[in-house]
Amino acid sequence: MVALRNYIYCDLCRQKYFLMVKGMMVIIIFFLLISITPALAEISVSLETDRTDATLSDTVTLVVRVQGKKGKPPFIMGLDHFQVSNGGSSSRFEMVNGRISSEKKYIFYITPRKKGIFIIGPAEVSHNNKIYKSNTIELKVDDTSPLESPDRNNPLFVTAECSKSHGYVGQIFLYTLKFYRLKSVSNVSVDVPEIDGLSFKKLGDHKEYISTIKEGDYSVIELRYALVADKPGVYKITQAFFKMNVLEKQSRSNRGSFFDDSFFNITRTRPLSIYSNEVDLIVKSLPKEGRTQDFSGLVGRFSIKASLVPEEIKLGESATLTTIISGDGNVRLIPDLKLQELKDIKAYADQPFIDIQRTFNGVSGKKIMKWAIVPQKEGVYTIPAMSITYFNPETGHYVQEKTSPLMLDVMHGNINGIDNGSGQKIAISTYIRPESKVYGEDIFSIHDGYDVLRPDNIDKMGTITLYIIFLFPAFIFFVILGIRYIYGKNIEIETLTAKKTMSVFLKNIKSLKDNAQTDDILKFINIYFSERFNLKGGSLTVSEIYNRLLQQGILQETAQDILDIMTELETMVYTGESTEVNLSFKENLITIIKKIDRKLK
Amino acid sequence: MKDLKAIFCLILFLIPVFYLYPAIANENSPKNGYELLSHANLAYKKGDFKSAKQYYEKLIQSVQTGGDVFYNLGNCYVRLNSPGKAILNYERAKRIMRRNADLEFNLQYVRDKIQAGKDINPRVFFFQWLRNFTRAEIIWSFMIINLLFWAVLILRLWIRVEWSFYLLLSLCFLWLISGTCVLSDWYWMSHDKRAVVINSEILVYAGPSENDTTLFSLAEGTMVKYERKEGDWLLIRMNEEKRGWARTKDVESIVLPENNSVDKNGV
Repeated sequence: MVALRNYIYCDLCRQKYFLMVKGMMVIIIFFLLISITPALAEISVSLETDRTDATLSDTVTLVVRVQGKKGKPPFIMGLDHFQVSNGGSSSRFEMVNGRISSEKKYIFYITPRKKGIFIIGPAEVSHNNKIYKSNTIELKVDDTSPLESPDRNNPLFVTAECSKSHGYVGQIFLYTLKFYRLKSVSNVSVDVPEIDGLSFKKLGDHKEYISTIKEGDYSVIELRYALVADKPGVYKITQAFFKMNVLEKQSRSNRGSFFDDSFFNITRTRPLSIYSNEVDLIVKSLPKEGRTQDFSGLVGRFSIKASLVPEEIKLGESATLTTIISGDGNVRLIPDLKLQELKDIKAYADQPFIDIQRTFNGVSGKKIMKWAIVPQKEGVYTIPAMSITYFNPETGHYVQEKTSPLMLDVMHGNINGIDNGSGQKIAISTYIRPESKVYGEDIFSIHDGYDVLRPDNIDKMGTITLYIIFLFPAFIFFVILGIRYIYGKNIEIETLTAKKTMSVFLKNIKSLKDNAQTDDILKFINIYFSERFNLKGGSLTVSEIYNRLLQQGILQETAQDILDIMTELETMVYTGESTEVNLSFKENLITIIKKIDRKLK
Repeated sequence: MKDLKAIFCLILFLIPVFYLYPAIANENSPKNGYELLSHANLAYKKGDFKSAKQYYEKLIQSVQTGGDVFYNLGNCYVRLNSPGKAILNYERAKRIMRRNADLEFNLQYVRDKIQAGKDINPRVFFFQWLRNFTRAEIIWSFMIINLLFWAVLILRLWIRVEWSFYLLLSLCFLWLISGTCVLSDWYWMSHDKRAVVINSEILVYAGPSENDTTLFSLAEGTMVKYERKEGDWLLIRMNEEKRGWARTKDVESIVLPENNSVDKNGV
């Protein structure tokens, strides 16, 4: 324990320790999340196939997704008429915004043994004695085999087929192109035929799967188009053609050599175009019998539903009426419904919203229309039913779909009240007052004040004045700068000279020994004053120094002090009284000289 | 020596005063200016818009006025049912009074009435923004900043403390910005090439002659930019695509001609 504490308290090791603890914490939390969260999540099973129709020679990919807990492998119902081979499984684990999800995907390849419509599924997964079921899928198996075509013996061929051989104007047909290949190809492009009166629109992404023909496993690329005829007639859908580059391996001629291995084979590309078969389509016009006035040209299968939210409101409030028309077919022709005018109700229509889905199985979609319903009076109102008429090509009849009438209950409105003074409240209904009411239009009148004639004060100044005002501060600055430059130079020299003189004097005095020679001191004082009064090569008498000091504004007392000192020193030197002075004399002299130096300009 | 210095400084400070004197002296506008103005205003109020228009025009010719007189003249043209001239004078007023609500309203009112296009705005945001300030505001701002800038610069000759450095730096930035504003505004005021179509439905030709191909027509009140003048013809441009020659009598520049004449048509 002591050892551990020592380890922790070691400065360098402490950081490592905290990093280690932090890392461990992160790992523990991570594993806790992995183990706990999926356990909390519910299991969900889904089933999907890569397509919903196939031929006896096709192989369909079936995928079962199990989300949530780990369970046993799924058991799939409805595969009695299929040959099933396992395609393996894969797991996925992801954490998005703190939410953890796991999924296991089981892949199976199923090949139909007989034609017909089969319900595949549900897939069942059992966990803790509970069985979770998936959705089911309808798979249509046809015996139409592409083997009848003359090109079918080729390693590359294309087939074209239409979902119906005959139909009606406005009906959506599915035009399917299948490109079978045994060879490797690149840069595949498709040219769809252009036929007057027919329009093609691609549906979803292409699909790829394997199809077995004459014991050859062909890779198939399937493309689907929505085909709509604008006018009746017998159409011959001409050939669609695929353009591609075929990759062909070219072996080396020297058999048995080292380079005969496939690794060294050269691959060449050869451009190739393949044509599909022609397809016949008979399109009839829509029958007149049974056609109503509200028919907008809708062909397919549609439904309509309406809702009113809320169904109870107070006077002054509004309710929303929503009508949704959805179905498969030429969705774009879903009409904008009109709400019948209702007494004491104002209805404000919203912009209709249309959503069109083009999937591999066809075109579907919905149109949403909304109205804001504002009743003007209390009571119970009936919102009448709305209807659409469409043509069902399967039955060959017109169908009218209707909504049910909706009831709206309008209760007593929100009333504000004010006291009339006797304790009773006077009811005041709230109402919307228009923001403004326009009575007329005119321009604003003329400006007739006395300041109208007064021009802008800037205009009054004139350009030259403005220049002067702009430049004047700069001018002043440069003038001051010039003055400072000219005068500042002399001042600077004088200041420097004064500083230098003082420092030389102090240096000389301090260089003398404690018992200094009087003549030296006198000499240094004379040098100082000569320099300070700018007397190059000249010297002053004691009385002259005294007078000059007084002229320079030095106090008489201070001037007298230096006069006394100098007189004393001269007496000592010239009379031979003493040749040395003591330390206190020197210090006194320095103090007086410093005082004088500070006062001198 | 001290006296000399004092005299020198006094002269320095008096120089701008001498120059400012004419400006101050100009404060007294001519007496007949007020006379003309009162006549014009009276005529307008009586509903004699033609006479009012003439008085205002005479006023503009004789006296240096503010934007209000152009605004009043614009009003006269609205009453006289000349939307092109009205827009022209409102735009002239707008060059001086750039944020006047009455002016903005009346100008928009006329434009809406004849369904004329908008003003030709500068493409650069800075120049658009600058048009919100009057010339006086821009120049006064610069003058104050200029004065402060140089004052701080002078101050720093003696006091070199830290705050004065940052103050100088800030003022230097403001000085540059306001200086740019002054120069930009001066450039715009002196190089304003905008013009207004003052006659109804004018024809624009491919060359400065009626024999040239007729390119398009322009409605009264349309704002254009003129490029150059050849005789009685102006090369005008409405946008990148519409460009051609129009007669000078049909198009009038927003910038007043040198002789300050509003009667004279053309640029």
